[in-house]
Amino acid sequence: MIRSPQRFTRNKDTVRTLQRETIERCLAPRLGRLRYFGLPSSALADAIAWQDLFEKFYAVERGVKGKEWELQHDLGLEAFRAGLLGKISLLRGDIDLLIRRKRDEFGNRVPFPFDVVSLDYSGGLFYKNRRGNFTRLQAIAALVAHQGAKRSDFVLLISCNLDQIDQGEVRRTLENVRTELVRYGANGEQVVDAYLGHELEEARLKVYVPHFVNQEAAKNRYSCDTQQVIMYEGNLKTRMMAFRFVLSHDTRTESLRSPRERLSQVFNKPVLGVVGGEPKETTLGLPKLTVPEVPRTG
Amino acid sequence: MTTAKDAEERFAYGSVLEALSRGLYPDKRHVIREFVQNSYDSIYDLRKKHASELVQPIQISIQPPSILIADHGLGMSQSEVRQYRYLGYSQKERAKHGGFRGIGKYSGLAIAEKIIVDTSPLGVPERYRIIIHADKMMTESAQGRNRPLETVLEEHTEVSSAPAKAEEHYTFVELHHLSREAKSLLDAEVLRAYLAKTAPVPLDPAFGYAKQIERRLRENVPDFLAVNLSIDGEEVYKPYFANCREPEFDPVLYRDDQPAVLAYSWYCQNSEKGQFQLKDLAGLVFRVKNIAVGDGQLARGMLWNSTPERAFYFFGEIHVLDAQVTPSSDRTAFEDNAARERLAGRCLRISSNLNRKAGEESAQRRFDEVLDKGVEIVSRREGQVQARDLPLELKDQAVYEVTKLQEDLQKRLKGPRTPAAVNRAKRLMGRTRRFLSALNRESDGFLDLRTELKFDTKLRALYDCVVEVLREEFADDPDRLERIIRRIHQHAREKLKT
Repeated sequence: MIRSPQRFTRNKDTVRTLQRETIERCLAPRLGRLRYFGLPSSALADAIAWQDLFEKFYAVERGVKGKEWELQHDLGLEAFRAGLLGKISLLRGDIDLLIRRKRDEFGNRVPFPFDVVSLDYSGGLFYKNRRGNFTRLQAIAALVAHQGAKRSDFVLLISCNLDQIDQGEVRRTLENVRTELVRYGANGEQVVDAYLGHELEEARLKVYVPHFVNQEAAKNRYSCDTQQVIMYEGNLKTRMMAFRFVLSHDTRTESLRSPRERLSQVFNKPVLGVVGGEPKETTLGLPKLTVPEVPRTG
Repeated sequence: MTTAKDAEERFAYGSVLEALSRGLYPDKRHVIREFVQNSYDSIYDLRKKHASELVQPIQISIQPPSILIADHGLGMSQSEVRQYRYLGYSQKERAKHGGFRGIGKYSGLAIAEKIIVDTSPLGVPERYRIIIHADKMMTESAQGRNRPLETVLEEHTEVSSAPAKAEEHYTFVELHHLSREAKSLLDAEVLRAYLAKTAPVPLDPAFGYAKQIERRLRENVPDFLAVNLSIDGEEVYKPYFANCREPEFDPVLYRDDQPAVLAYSWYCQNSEKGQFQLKDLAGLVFRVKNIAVGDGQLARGMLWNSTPERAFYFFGEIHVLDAQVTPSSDRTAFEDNAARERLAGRCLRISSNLNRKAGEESAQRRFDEVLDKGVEIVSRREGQVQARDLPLELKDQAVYEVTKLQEDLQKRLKGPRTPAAVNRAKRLMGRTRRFLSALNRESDGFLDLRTELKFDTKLRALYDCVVEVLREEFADDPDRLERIIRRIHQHAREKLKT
């Protein structure tokens, strides 16, 4: 049976436009020669929308269990129909495994580094394997490490829904952040309480995901710039979030914790809510984090 | 009268699939050529029926473990899609298309787990997908389940459809999950080298004569079509040799007294000595519908009865226009029929023409070599005489060398020659004549060891005797004789001068 290509909402198109703006702004000198790695979906929406920016797309498709070939074939077909066949390299399998093993199911090498990595997950970030590990988070950590080993600057795009959020993990992280903030003398108690008690999961993920990526970035000598977090409604009215990170490699950057300036940026940047295809800033009614100025020495 | 038993009889069984796929296509690369051929035919049909449509390249994408082959040809109609599942059925016409047997599509059975074909015919708002589950067919065969062919084909193939834009037209084939034996096809360079030689692609634009040749082919080969083809985004072109002479064109007629053309050939001769270095690209290659049949060895075997090495002094093509000349399924040769015999007979003229050209070229080249060598001999001997450095014992040798050169030049002046070679030869003949007469006149222009070292009569007789023996012993190796004589001179001077 021939499947119809996946369709996207106006909101998703807007997210893609915002992501494109980030790519254009942050990778300007190399536009047209960029290398993409990620999950463009079998409809190849990312690749079609951004084809003028990229020289090569390494597209990952897992397919449906038992009929993996079908969606993988569809991806090839869409690439051909869109005139992108010469730019596409298909990698088959689960992207998280692929990142960790640096090979796809058929032994094809994942040729790190890439300029843009798009992890457009259809599910949540907290998927656990049989051993209880957060495979997606592990994969993101591995990805940053592989890119870091090549000292390559890149843009990391993550989209996910709010499924299977591990409240314990999120709370633990926010508590750690609270401790850190209080140590710096910020109004951490009040702010973190507001985030933990907020009715929307998006509020907590707005801090959790950037904090996680910033930590991994710092471990791998990256300076990480977190762009405004986006929340939107996807297909079937699924609540989705999109994150954009610009990671710049710097051999001087090596700290186990992300600096508090970054934390304040993460907390204080308003969220972009996309409704009916229109982006609009919102604070979600959350308080601002105030970090006391560090007294200048000398 | 048909009985119930007769009705159950089947005349073909599943095992025939294995025989047809593996047996007919032992070289796995031919499978790719089959699908490229289908793409070519589809583009041919598009051009015939919708001349205004842009001809777009055939695209091959290597996506391990699969290969994708796609074209924006006419696409297949619903009935063609249904018939795609049939074995040995094709609506294609032998005179117009590269393929026509209806077997090629099943060639992929031997190498892939699945053959997935998507097609969208121009002007029809539908697209179709055919899936041939090669793995299931081959598993059946391996298990010895030899069910009727119809049942096997019906059970292990699928056809489905979906709405599409009427203006879309394409065929997209995936040879999904190639077998281990076919893994070499996943090497883009292997595929490129093969398709450059066999596919109906244009000549490399870097080849200086490409435009001229393709213009002549369009003018002389009815429906000539070269289609761009890319592998992983990189264009594939027919190979060429840069060190070649200007192309020549040679139509082969059915009969000398009638204008109907049986084949049309072009060829370029090596501008350097002898054969082209890469023999697998050298020679003349037969093409039917611009798709190669065999390689240079086929034309060499069919047309060169004598001096076969001369076939590779050239590269070029023989485009066969006779629809009765039928390539074998794997296109490594022609079916053995009367048309093939006629083709071979009529094309003999090409080989004899090329042999003559190669012979003349060799003779001219040899003439130039003789002239170069001759100039060297005369210059050396003239220098030795002027410097009084030529032992008297070698005078006869020098005379012999130059006389022999004169004879050789006179002989070559009667054979194939260029005006430049003739002029050089005449000038050299003059020099040889002047040199020989000077030798005859000169008496003290030589090194005479006997006089120099004041040999007495007995020693002189002994020395002459030794030299005579040496001359006889080294008659076949004058260079060595010269070296020995010169060494004797040197040693004798050292030992006897004081």
